[in-house]
Amino acid sequence: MSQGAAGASGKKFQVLNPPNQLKAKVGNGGVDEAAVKRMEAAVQGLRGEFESQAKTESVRLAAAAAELLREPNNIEKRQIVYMLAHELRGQGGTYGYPLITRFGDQLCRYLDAADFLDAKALVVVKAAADAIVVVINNGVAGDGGDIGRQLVAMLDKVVAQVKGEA
Amino acid sequence: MRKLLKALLEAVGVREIVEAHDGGLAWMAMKKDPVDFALIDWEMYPVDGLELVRKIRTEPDSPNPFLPIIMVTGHTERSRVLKARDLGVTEFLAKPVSAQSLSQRIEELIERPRPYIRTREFFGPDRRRGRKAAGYIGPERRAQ
Repeated sequence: MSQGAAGASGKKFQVLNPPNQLKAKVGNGGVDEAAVKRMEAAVQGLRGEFESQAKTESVRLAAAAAELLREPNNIEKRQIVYMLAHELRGQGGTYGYPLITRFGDQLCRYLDAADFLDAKALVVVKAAADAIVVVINNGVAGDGGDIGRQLVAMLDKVVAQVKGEA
Repeated sequence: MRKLLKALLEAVGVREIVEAHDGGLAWMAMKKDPVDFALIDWEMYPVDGLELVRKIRTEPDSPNPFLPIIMVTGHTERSRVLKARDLGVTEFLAKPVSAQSLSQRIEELIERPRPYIRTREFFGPDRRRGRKAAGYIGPERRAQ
């Protein structure tokens, strides 16, 4: 342990070096390439389960978004939409569906930034939720080709229009 | 998400994994059986990841204030990253998680552990990394 004093304040900080217990347990070598390959295989092994779960979640998201449209400033309903989108954005990219992550991220960021959901904001919520549902229901993997580009352009346009009108 | 992280940890060779649904349950679990490192999701309910990190670093009855912590989150805005760092998170793992990104963070914990800094307002891994830490020539703020 070492200590330092800073300037006129004379107040101290401590620098502590605890023993590296992880290193002591695993030894030298760290995470090798074979381990990374096993991890990648593990992700692939869960992909089918994610696809099935995502379909269930997309139904819940569509229903939650519809409820939010009816009661735009119901905090609980807004939170449900947020959490569903948040969970999907967190996993889509892992399993080869970056557009789920992209649209989920757009929806979450929009909800994070909006104090109140007015009619214009709801257009974005609906468009983003719809885009996620389309990606999941059609198994749009990777960049999604033409469908993917159209969805990206559609949502970006809606967001830009709403921001421009705000 | 927990299922994915568990599968990844098992694939990398971690044999004993303790899971918890939220920060409160995780806190009780790690007090019962100390762990070597923790993967903590920011979004948990009712006790979230940030609160769990705060408890681990600062509570007098913490099972290990030096516990290496990887914060897993979809919140990648700079302000949020800094907030987590200032509570004592060791590594930050942005979702979507990949085999590569998680293995790199684990590698950091094992091979490049940082010293811990204690000031009146902060306790956790050195927030200045590598060359930045060694060659730091700015104002000394640690003790202010």
